Amino acid sequence: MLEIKNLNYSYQKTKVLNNVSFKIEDQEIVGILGPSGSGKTTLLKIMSHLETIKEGSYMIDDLWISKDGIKGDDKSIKLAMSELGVVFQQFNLFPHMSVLENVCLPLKLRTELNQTDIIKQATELLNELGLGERLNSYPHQISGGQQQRTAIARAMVLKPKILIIDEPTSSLDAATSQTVIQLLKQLHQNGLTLIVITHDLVFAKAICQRVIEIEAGIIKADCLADQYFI
Amino acid sequence: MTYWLEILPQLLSGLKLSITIFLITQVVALPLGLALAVLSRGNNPIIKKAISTFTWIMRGTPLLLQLYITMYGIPLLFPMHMDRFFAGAITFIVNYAAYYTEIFRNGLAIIPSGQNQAGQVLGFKKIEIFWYIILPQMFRNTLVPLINEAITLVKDTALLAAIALADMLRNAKEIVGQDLRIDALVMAGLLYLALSYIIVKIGKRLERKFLLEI
Repeated sequence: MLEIKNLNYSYQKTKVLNNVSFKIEDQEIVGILGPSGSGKTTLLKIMSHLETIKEGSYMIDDLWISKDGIKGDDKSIKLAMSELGVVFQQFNLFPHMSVLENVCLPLKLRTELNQTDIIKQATELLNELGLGERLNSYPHQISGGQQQRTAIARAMVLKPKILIIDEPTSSLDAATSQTVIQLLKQLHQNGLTLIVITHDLVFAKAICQRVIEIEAGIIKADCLADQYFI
Repeated sequence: MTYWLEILPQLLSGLKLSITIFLITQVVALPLGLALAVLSRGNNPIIKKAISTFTWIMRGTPLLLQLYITMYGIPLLFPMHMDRFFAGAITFIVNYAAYYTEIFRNGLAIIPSGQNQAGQVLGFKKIEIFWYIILPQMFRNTLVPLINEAITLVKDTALLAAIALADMLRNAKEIVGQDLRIDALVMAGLLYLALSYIIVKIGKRLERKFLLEI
């Protein structure tokens, strides 16, 4: 479970998030919707621990994080954050590594697995995501959709419970977007909680169970997708 | 041809000095430049200012002047015996470290912040992010300017003659003065070209390995 309480955030003097609170239960698919500049990316950065909380608090895996620090030691923070996978809008694949190496690196640095098992696990996951033919390709040699699937594989290889995916359709054509929808639904069926940050209403309607709409840093709506997309 | 073979050992002895200074400079100045580049991207304004002042002075004044200051100026300020080889090596190291600092700093600056963020969200330690993600990309970004600097360094070793070190050019000049034949200068030119050729070849191989694969 992930929960945000009374979160306020400002860049210099501009308030980006204003008293934001919500709770995401296990195995939900939640869309965080809003136009550019609404605060979605800041929210992503806070949820993925890339920005420090200034006001309010954030809970992941029963570990509360607030501006006063984190109630837990480094090990428990690492454990809690490993419950979370993030796929960035620009994917942020490592350009000097092949598709396989991109997915192997988290296993190499975050697990005790030996090299053979690392390659085996990464290859299996990439095969599942339809990238078996592109294992040795470099990110610039594959399509946008394949890059995104590589980024999803890299985020999923440590088996997080929650996956945050930022603007998943921004650089994809309609056909590839459909493939991404199917893939995310499949991951959700396997028990994953999905947080989709997007301004693409069609995509959100196709996949989300619940919608949190954010505008100018304020939550405008938090309801079931069926109610939101009437 | 016999004359060329006769003068070759003297030129090769000078070449040995040039190569020694080249290797010492590369081995020390590259990591020093990298360390300064990393420090210059930190948050300490005093360190940042100190490094930018250092690179400004070292890149803004002639290497020849720096050699004179190390060899002749410092012993005047602090009476001491200054070894010529030491003076040459230390000046080259400091001068090239300044250039490498700027090259590495630019190489680091153009790596998108998303690369660091990707490492962070995967739970990597800072040192792991630097070693596995940032450093290889920085190396790729700086490969071409580093090869250019290596070629310049080969040619700059000719300046060692200014502090009376028997480098290849100085030896060639002496041979020309003794024999009144230009051959030694031509041979020195060919040997410099051969050295540059080797560096270019190594550079091309590195480019093929690290640039064309991505």
